[in-house]
Amino acid sequence: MSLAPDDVVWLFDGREGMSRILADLVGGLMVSMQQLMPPSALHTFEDPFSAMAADASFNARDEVSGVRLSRLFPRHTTPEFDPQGEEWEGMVRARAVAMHGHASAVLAEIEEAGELVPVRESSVHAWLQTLGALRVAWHADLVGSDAPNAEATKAQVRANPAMATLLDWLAYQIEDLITTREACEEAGTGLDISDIEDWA
Amino acid sequence: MRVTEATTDVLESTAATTQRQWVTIVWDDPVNLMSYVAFVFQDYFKYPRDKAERLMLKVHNEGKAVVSTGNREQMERDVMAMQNYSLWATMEPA
Repeated sequence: MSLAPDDVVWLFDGREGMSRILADLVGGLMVSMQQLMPPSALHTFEDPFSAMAADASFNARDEVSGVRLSRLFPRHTTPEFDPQGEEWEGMVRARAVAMHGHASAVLAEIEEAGELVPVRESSVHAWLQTLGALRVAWHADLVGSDAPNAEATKAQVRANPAMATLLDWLAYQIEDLITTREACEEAGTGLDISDIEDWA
Repeated sequence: MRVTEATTDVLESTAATTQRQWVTIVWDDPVNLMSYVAFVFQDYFKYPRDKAERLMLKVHNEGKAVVSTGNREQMERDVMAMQNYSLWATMEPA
């Protein structure tokens, strides 16, 4: 059974400071994506030619550095991958813009709702792609590698228990969102949050 | 005659390249949850739940799975889409 875009399919529980933590993480992701976005996506130009000139001189490929960004923007997706090619440049820019858009939408919902954030069917993509990106990027930070198959060693987890805990928490949020949404889908209706103000 | 033959050769080669089948492969990774991977397959490819879960288990148990097949342009889109979900995906000739 399908859900309506306005159906609330999950409630993010941001009590006990978790709302602030997630907002900070999402804000950080947005800043990272802004480094990879063409100038015309970030600034208003007086005329289109100025915008084109600014975009032409911008090189998003060179800004993909560090394990977190490198993990989010993996190379060698095709046999003929060219790290200096325009195709890769376009892919980085497009993905950065999309990811920034998703993160921005999530942050807006957190800031509007506060501790208990109703997530509607229409926002599920934004939330899942943002939470997924955060988990992948910070996992790369924990293991010190952008290799997609890099696993955290016990020593790495012991050295950074807060990060390991954060990754577990993000995993729980993703799992909870998917599971709750599936339950709503099977029921054919969203969550009833009419008494949400009583929950806080 | 030579120009015509050369043009025909180029056109035939382009057509063959365009029609050549490629596959999108999703690889297992230690970060993305099984439920998340299955959701992505349902959400993007519109696969029914049982197929999405079957593919997800193939990724999990065998290390990778072919999740779609098509021409090069289609597979480039699918790989990008998988990466937008932060999955590890590549493409190769079928």
